[in-house]
Amino acid sequence: MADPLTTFERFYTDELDGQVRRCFVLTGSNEIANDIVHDAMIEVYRRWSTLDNPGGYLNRAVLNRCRDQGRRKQVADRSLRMVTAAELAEPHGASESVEMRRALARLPFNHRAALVLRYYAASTTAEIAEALDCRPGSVGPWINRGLTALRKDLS
Amino acid sequence: MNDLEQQLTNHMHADGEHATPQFRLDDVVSGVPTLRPEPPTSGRSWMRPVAAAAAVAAVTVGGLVVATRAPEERPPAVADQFAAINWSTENVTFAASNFAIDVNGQTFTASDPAIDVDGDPGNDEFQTLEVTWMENGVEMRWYVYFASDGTDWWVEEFRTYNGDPDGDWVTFDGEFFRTPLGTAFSGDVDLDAIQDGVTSRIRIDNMVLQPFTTNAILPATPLADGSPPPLPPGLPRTGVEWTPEGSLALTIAEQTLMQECMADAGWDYDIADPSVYAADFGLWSPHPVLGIGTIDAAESNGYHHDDRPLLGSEAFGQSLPPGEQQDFYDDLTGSDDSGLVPITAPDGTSSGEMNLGGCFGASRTAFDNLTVDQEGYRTFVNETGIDQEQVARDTERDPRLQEALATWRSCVEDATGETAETPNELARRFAFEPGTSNEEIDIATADAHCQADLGLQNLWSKVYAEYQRFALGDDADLFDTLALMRVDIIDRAGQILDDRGIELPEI
Repeated sequence: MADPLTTFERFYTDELDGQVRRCFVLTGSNEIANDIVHDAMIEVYRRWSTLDNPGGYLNRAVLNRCRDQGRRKQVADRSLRMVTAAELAEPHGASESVEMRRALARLPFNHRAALVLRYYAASTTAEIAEALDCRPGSVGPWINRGLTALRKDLS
Repeated sequence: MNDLEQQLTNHMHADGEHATPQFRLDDVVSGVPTLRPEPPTSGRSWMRPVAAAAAVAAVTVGGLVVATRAPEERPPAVADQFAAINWSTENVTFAASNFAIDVNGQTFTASDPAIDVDGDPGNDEFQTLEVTWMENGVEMRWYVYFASDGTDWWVEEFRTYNGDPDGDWVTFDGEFFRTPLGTAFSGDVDLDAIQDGVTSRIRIDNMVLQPFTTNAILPATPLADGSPPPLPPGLPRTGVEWTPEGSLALTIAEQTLMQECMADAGWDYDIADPSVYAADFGLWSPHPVLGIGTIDAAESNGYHHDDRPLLGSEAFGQSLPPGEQQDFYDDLTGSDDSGLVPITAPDGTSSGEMNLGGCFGASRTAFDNLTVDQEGYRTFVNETGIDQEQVARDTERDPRLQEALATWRSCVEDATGETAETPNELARRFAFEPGTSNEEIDIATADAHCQADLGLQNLWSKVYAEYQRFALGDDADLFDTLALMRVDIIDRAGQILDDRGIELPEI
């Protein structure tokens, strides 16, 4: 039988970059993304021997933490802004990119997450539904509402 | 893919490039005891220190003074009065009159005043206490790993350095001091472990230990009879959640009003028959426990959930050429921010803004200002005031649901030969497989009949609502207010449909 640490190391190597990047796109903060994925990886590692689908479990763990992060920030900031002015001022990207990040940050979490999963992670509707623990029928409307809001915000 | 979708894709991929992982595999695995790789050994079983520690613990713990006092009877820092050691963190209380680790022929007593006490606050299931100090010319560490199942807490592992300059871990694995949450374990500790030929011993006198002090969870059975109080009369069976039939009525009423408003603005489109919207309600979707929703859905789709086509305004908007889409969405949701309405939760905190511009806003305001108010209440009840995960766990453990699930298991096994703990587990066996087989349809249909006979969906909703309301404590009246607002909104939706002669199918 394969050493569980070896199999986990393979999983960790395969998942790390993509998870951190996806989480960064969702939260707008490299530090927060690293904290979230680090904690989620530990959660997966602790349950490694009992998980049938560790990738799916990791996806949900990361997304739940991203959602919780947004809620904590909402309570703290008393606003829906996911990205602070200072973070928006970070020198990565032209103003168009900043505007897109700002517009994405204004979306409700499920709409933003559905867009990230579809257009960044190229996930299928069933995969998005599983990751966000929702009906597959909700995914399409979330994506469309997200796109509609983005279109309006960016115009 | 249209221009916006392409722009979004490009943006996300470019943005993602700015993210860089800042931790290593070792940062993940070093703090977790469960998957330590088997080290190179000279024929010695890696399990030996574990077994040795557990055996000693069993004997030692059996002889301990185990004082599991009720929380209200236990002074919060009972050991402080006499303890030489107090290594408490925000989440863990640890005090003792004497502490010693014997390892590799050396004794460590943690008497260094510059001792570093830290820990991982973790979550409701996992926390640590991590103590580091210098002694005998080496860095010494003592880590305690706590676990909880929502009812009890226990120590699942102690770890200590072995006293070498390049310190390696010695582990004491097992399940120690199982104690009800909210309660301290008191007693003496004497644990032995033998690992790679090195004998280690932890001795603690008059220990008072309690983790999960800041996020202790209420027991699953908050009342003496094992159940939260029933919902007050007049509240819907689902509490503050929309009933399926209420949700359908609201959806169709909103779509109808939007269509009428958009027609006045010159956009002519049809909305789908209510039966098309209704078809979605019974299909399986991920849930902690529940599975297929209705017999009709099981007979038509099994456990599969085809992508729902875009309906109404969404379908029409997407069908327009890009040049017209902007005008359409301006009319649908408003062309500026003038429709943004602040949402305030009942505790006075802001819950953000809600767009009530355009025809979307016009349809929403047809339900009066309850639409905005209920959103503020919903945010407070569902996102601020309640630990939803805990409520779901309480619901799963409730004796009424457990009894119903036991009956469901027998029913499904008798009818299909399938064994599964929950309807959701059974559904997942099929939901992500390609295609829908006749066997799947048969199993899903039998499963749906078993659930319907038991009223499992309604039972879950009822029990879940009771725990939600109970979790709000003194704020339970907010739950009642929100539930009644939603009843009112659904009544208004029903009136809108009645006025237009629109009948809803049964779901």
